[in-house]
Amino acid sequence: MPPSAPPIVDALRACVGERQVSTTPPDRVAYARDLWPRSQLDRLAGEAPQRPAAVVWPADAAQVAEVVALCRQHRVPIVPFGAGSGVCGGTLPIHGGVVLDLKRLKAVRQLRPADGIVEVEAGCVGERLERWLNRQGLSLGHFPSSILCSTVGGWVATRSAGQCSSRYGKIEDMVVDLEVVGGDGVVRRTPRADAGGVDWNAIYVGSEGTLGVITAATLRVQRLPTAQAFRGWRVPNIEAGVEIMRRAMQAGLRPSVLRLYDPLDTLMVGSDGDRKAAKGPLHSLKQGLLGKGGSGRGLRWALGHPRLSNGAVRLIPPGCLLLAVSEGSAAEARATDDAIAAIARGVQAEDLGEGPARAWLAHRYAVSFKQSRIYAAGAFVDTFEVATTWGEVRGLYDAVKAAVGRHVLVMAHFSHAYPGGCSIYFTFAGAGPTPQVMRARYDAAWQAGLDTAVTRGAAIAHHHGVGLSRGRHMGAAHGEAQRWFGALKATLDPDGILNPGKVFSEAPP
Amino acid sequence: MSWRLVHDPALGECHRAPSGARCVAPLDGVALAETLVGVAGRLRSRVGQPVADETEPGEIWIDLTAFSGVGPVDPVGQIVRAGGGATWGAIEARLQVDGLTLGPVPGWLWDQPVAHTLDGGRRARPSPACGELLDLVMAIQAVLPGGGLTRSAVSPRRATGPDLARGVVGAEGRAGVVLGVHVQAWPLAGQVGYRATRFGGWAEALAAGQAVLRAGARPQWWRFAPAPTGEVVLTARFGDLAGLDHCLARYDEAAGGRPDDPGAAEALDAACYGPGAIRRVAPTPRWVGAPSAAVGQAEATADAEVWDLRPEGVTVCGAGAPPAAQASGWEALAAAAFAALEPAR
Amino acid sequence: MTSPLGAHRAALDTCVFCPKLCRFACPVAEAEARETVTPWGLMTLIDDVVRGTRPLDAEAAAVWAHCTGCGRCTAVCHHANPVYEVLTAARAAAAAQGVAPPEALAWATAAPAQSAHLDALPSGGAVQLYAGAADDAAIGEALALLRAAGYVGLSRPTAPLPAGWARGAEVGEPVPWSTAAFAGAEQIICLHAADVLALRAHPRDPGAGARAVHLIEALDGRLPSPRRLAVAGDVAYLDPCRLARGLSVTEAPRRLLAAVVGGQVHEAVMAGAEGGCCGAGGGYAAVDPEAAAWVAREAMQDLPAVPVVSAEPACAAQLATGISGATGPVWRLTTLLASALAGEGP
Ligand SMILES: Cc1cc2nc3c(=O)[nH]c(=O)nc-3n(C[C@H](O)[C@H](O)[C@H](O)COP(=O)(O)OP(=O)(O)OC[C@H]3O[C@@H](n4cnc5c(N)ncnc54)[C@H](O)[C@@H]3O)c2cc1C
Ligand code: SF4
Ligand code: SF4
Repeated sequence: MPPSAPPIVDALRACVGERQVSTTPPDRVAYARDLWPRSQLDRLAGEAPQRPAAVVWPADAAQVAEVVALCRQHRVPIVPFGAGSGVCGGTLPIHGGVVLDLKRLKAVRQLRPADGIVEVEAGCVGERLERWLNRQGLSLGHFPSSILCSTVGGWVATRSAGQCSSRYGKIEDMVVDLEVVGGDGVVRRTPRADAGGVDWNAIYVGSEGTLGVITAATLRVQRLPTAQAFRGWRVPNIEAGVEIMRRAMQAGLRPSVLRLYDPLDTLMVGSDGDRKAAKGPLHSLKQGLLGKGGSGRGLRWALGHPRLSNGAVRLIPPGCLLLAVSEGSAAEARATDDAIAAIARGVQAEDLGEGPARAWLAHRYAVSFKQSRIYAAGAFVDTFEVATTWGEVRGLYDAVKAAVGRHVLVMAHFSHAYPGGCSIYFTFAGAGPTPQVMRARYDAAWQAGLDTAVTRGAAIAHHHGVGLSRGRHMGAAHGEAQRWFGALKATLDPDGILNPGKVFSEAPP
Repeated sequence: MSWRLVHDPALGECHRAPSGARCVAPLDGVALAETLVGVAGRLRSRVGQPVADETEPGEIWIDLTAFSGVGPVDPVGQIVRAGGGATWGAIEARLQVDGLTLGPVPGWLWDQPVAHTLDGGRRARPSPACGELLDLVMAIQAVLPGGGLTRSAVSPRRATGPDLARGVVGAEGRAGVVLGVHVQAWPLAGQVGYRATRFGGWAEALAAGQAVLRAGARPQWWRFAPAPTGEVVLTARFGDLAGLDHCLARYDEAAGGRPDDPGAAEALDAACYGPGAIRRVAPTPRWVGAPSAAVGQAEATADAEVWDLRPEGVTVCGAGAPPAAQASGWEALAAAAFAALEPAR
Repeated sequence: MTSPLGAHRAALDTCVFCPKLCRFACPVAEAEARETVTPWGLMTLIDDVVRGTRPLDAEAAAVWAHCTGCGRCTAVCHHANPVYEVLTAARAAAAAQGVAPPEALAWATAAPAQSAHLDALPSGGAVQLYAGAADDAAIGEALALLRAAGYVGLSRPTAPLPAGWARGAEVGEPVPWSTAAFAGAEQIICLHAADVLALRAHPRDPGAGARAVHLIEALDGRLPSPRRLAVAGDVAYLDPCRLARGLSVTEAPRRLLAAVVGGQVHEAVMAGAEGGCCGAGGGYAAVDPEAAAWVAREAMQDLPAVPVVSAEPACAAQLATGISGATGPVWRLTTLLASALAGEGP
């Protein structure tokens, strides 16, 4: 924050209340990092991140507008903050300034079941909203793995995807309209997504706090499904699994989950009873990655030698696990399940029954608890999700795996299936003798992955957003379309105070 | 107005329409980019000459005839690449060669170039089974005012900032000219089935429509329209992609109402969709809003028709203009953003 | 600050790198909307102190006061990290350093409210009532109900104790007390689950073999049929966190309540063993009464505007601080039970 910090802090306090502005070190430290694994590595390296000068907790959209107007007047950067579960560094206050925590805006403003919508404020934590909707017999149908620790505003701001996106769509498919505060400090409501003309929702969704502060969203809701059908399949190889997914989606089926694990990820998931789980070193690696290892030395060694580890992975049998969950009315769930089964049998898939998919549903958020163990063991883990068309899926998978695999151990699953293609969700883990080496390997893995995705014409992010981690590849990915971003930024945030440096790291001023 | 009309024969012909609008017919992407360098004004993507009574002073018509190619088709991804000047009809015809389809293409869209539809940004072909036509567009490549070329991953979804891939949609040509698109297609249905059902009134009919959607029976198109008897008739077409028999059974169970002669739906299908279709357009203006308000809108409109019914939104054709609130302030912001795109002179 | 906290290294490590997965469950984090007081934030601050990257000072200790000890984080954490336990160790370190918030110590050592009902009891009998921070009215109700339930020879501890002697441990302050106070007891009936838990956890057996139970457990299944309904319409029931999660007593209060309510008993979205927190525990309300009232308000926000019932006096009192236009009055369960038995309205 510039030297004018004290006057603006006083003014902020006058606006939102004394205790809703903090400049204390504990608060500034707590808001200096999010779930970007690189921040975690910085912590392992003992490096202190850039802190905001102040944290502000507005109570409503009017206060957000006042805060933005004040910051604009003083040219103070603002970083909107949901729950800080973003994994790309989107909330890092790289230019200092004010972090604007939106979680006090958490009311459900209106629920209109007959119109299939709920209007909810941006700071509402996802799990709380979903539980509340369930109580009314409804669901948002949006289940990101971070539902326990992320907000509606964060979802909208990052173009988030839930685990059931194949049926219910991503968050952008659910947005009916938004209430936003622009960089000019004005509260506006976007036209309905179906109104025609310029689609302002498509502009704000994914804008990651750079074009406006989202204060509320009207979202589509669903009635809770009355039936669910579960099925696990063991497919001979990745191609066969992708083929089932493609044919199911192109046949107009709408399963809520279609999730194919590559051989290593299949080993990790192990829901087929570990029947074919490798023994020996791979088993130890699995235990280590699942946080069940002992001291972590074996894990660090394996992750520190990615070429060897990735080579060993080739010994794993090529079979893969495919999970399918179908839901809706009883008739639709059954019909979808039957239709997928017919496709699966056509590619010699082995029916594993309900068990694996039921087990997945029961533990769907469990994996999120595991990653901290890996850091605690002195290693790192991250995920890299891209999306492409069906014809490109296999090629992209091989290319990214080869490129990233030089630096880290890598596995993937294929999920978020649409008629036009799907997402590949790579999980990679690495280690190094020092935090500095780890960071270098981490950066190299990302660089390699992003370069490959750009070269192959894939979407460089399917649902985690851009933040800082992908910013430098945005120009290559979008060409001159970044001028559209520049024009929007100049219009909606005329003084460039909203989350500067994010989305397009090299965006034109 | 400071645009510069390029009279280089290599770039194509220039015409002046009676109203004062101008038309450029660039022959390739480079020429189009060069044409747009230094041009200011509303760009109108068209195929063919400006039509006198459709032009406004100061407009520049971009004749995309040179960009009307369709193909190649990616048979695995079921995606077709098409130039901005390609018509929906041409795309559909090309897809059908490979056993693919966009789904039902209304007659009025058949001859419309893709770029023109995208410029307008209005819902063009709602279809519960096949999706809104604009949503089938997976990637858009455009030339910006000032000449830059955009890139866009061909991907079903993305999370790479705002949806810049759709930056031109609804911009009425002010954000650039669509050079080409990638469009998602569906397998061609081998079998289709029709339904016609009568309901006592709009409330009953639209509620039945929602029940049908909840049951997972998604028609390829459907239309709700009043009958002379005062009833509302729902006519619909189903395809066999997700199982025709299942779909029809779920429809029959969920819809209720009084079954009518499905021949009416078949006749409407023939009349409104496909190459030989009449260019029938549902009545305008169109009201778009929440389902609970749609019944009132439809009841208050003598010749209302509903072709677009979703759980969270309805378009009532023939009903009053959209709520004024939707326009407030945004048009000015859009204008400012488009102005910021114009190259500095 | 290493020794007691060193034992918690695994918990600290997992919390510090955790995506804050229990945040949705933490009543304090929800009410304050502040990352610093999420379980992740509290644990990270402890880790920073342990690692020496920040001092152990009043500023850190003040942050650690922002936890009610409701245990919800531990319940949803797949590592079952004992956040509150680690926090009390950190609070103890702060207390030892003399930097603990003074309000916390005052809260832990507060004298109990004067109670004529309690004073009228003999001391040192086989069944002793330990009322903790309850006021005289609540004690009167408890005694009336226990007598109606057939308890005879009720007595009180032999020596005066602080209002809630469980509190000393909660805020890390050593509060002097003695099990000798319970001499002669075979059963100790407490009005607050925190006291039951503290008695059960105490290394020395309080009063040779005495069994500590909660009043609600003591009453369940023993009360005669009510003479009339205490409430004709709907009410809502909120679980005291330590009763529901700590003692796993969730059905007994609902059974007792159902017998005296004519209408529907509404539940919070998260109820029973998942139930919330009123904001009273862990000294939080003493250190930050304003925020604790937000927690109380949050606890009631999902409920319709009907009377809210709690099974503990301290909980009911704290919930009352959160009453807003959208919430009904707050009643003690014992008030309803006693009035139904007496044939009067609450
Ligand atoms: C364990 C784990 C699992 C995950 N799983 C998924 C998953 O399955 N699917 C998925 O999509 N993501 C997932 N994520 C990523 C992350 O949860 C999402 O990006 C989420 O949408 C971020 O929400 P948040 O509220 O935490 O936002 P934050 O992290 O606080 O912010 C993210 C970005 O959005 C901006 N922002 C936040 N709120 C607003 C607002 N109200 N207005 C304007 N800008 C705002 C911020 O400035 C920042 O740029 C996961 C993350 C973790 C840690
Ligand atoms: S208690 Fe468990 S869930 Fe909560 S922050 Fe710590 S590790 Fe994460
Ligand atoms: S014990 Fe309760 S108040 Fe304390 S951190 Fe855990 S959930 Fe929050």
